[in-house]
Amino acid sequence: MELAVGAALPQWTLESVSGERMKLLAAILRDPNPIHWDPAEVARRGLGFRAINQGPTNLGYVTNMLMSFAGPASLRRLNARFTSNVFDGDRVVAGGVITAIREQDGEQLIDCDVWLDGGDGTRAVAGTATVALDAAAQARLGHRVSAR
Amino acid sequence: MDEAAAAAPAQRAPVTIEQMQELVGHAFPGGTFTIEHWENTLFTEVMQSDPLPDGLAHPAYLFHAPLAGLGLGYGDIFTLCHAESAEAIRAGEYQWEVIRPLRVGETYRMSGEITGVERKTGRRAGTMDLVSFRIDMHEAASGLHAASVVNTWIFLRSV
Repeated sequence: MELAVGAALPQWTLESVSGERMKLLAAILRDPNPIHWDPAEVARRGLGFRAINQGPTNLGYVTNMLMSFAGPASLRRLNARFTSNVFDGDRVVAGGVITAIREQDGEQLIDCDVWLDGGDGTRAVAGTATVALDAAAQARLGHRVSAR
Repeated sequence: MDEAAAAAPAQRAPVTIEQMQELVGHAFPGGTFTIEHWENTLFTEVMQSDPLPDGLAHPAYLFHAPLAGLGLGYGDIFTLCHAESAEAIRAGEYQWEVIRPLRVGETYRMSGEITGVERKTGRRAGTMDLVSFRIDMHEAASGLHAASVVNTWIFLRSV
């Protein structure tokens, strides 16, 4: 990919969101909200007919996309808001576009708009992020980024 | 309490914006959280990520660890913010700042407070209070600042 303002980040795709993993996260977080494991409760609340993925997991997918691009320790900042629900079985795609490339404190920083789109293309997460390209990412991308 | 009283729906006084604004500056009890290997393994699997190298924990811990480290459950925050019900709460905005990547086995010390309350009225949702709280994470052993999060949760009001 070209490292330039306006360039799209490589997408991260999950073919099917897992309801079983929602149950596991509910237990880890001690989150009693049944919309994450009881489709009948989701329907009762008029929210749909399948279990709803936890928000942190949706953010996790966005961070997976950023780590795949810039490295596993690359995340410096993430601001995000949830704009719609993701459901059990949905296909989701995390993506982004570079909005600035800069240098700060010796690090090459990439600012991006980021998002997660749900099953029907509805945007589920929208936000901005900053990552620092690690050495492996710089090598993989073919050159060291110059601030501009 | 007699049966009639027990069966009657609770009469809840409307939550005023003044009540909510009194929460600004409310400091949470501090605490610590250790990212355990077993939990990070499961957490990373939930996030559909491959295990991270070099002892790194998945960054989505920035949602889980700060609240857990403060010793706060969701219910505690709901009560503090006068939630009308568990169904009347929505996730708002999340801001994560990472100074030092989170690591498995590291113990983090948390401190935090409510930083803002704003009342808004939406066309569909009606009256709502946006409550923001900031939590700082420091490595317990070194004292170094690792991360800060600002979460905004939305409390829907029937007033």
